[in-house]
Amino acid sequence: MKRRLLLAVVMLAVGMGCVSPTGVRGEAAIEILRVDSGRFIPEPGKPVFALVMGQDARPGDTRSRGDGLHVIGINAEEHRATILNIPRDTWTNIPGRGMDKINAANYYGGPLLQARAVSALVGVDIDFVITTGFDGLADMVDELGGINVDVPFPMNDPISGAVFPAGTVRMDGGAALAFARNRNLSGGDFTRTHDQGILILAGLSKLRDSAPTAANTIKWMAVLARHTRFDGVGFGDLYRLGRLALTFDPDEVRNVTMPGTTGSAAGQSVVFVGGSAPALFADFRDDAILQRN
Amino acid sequence: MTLPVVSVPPPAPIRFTGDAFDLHTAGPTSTASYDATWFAVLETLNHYLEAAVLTPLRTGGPAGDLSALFNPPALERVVPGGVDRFAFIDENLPALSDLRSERSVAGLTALAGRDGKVSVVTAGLDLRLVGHVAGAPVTVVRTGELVLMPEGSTWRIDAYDIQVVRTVANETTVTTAERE
Repeated sequence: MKRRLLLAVVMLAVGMGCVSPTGVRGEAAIEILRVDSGRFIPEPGKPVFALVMGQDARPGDTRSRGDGLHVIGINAEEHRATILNIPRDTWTNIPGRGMDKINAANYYGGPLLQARAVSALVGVDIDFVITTGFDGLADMVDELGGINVDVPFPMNDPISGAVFPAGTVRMDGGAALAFARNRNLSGGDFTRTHDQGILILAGLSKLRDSAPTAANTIKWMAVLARHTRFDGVGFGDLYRLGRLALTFDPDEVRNVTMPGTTGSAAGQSVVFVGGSAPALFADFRDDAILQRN
Repeated sequence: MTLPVVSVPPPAPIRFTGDAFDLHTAGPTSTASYDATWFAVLETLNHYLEAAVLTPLRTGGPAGDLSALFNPPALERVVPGGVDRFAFIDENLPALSDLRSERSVAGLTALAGRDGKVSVVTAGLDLRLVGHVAGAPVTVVRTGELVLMPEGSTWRIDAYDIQVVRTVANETTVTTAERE
């Protein structure tokens, strides 16, 4: 018996991809929220789009900004997926609020408004949102037994704790958290956002290797469930999505970051959407596969 | 003269029995829920066994109604002409005599949410049937994994990865089927 998985996209995508920069660890903090009539299972010619988002809430905060925004497009027919990373400081229109940094949407209106803001920017309908603080991330990675991360270049950042050689590095939860938080990088937030996409792929690989049977998939789903709150999402849907995700070869999953330029607006340091971004979004939105980028 | 009386036991019924039930849960669950799931899933499996396997093997005829056993996308693949029908259904063989089971177990693994409600069950099947056709031995060995999901109080087969090995008079065919 071969194949299968779960929640890969969800599980690790979830967990690993998004951590906020505060470094506070605490209770499990993953939420999976269906957006309106969002679908969990792709239909022919209609990919599913998930927004994976970290939140930078500090203890006691009731509202927080979105951080580490990643749109995952899933094409079931082709068994392929694309991770589109969006810098959190992207200057864009937030529905009902006007121009602001894209991550302010979560502060103003929670995950649903964040999903609308991302939809407006990229031009895809977000079907569900996966949010997490970093609480729970490290514990979940540890519960999975660690992950192998393809570190693209040497890191030596004592602030985040990201001290890694280039190449494949076995990471426990704390190391994965440091890798995701490291901002002392050439390219700054662009690179950090891209690195979080690398973590998502590492999670997918881990799950593919660990859950070759449906029974093992269930075991991993239970790990996810212990760290997650579900809103409008049934386990049956989640299982189907996970099973689908595990059919994806991580080597065939593209991890791309929105092109942009840094500057200032309204007295803030921001990222302006790059001139080539609209073509990238158009390529992404039709089938969740990048043919021209 | 009195003829000797020989007492012959009836053939043992062929049914799946659960040899393990691992429940993974994100919250508290009850023994009642656990037991109900166990029995309901085995009921579906045994309904499948009777309709799709035993009936055609005993009669050489068509399978029984499977419509209540599969979710619609899976059912499309096992109806007459469906791509996976031959992996699930033992038609196209003559009627077997002396049909009996050498092994018919199902290992169940289930997932329950924080509310304790079971949402997904996998059944690892190990079924070995033997019989004869015109004096020649026949074995039908079916192994693999089914994924079942509830619809009301009924558990239906939603996905699968199975293999069946049929040997009739030393000629063996292997058929596999998979649906994610």
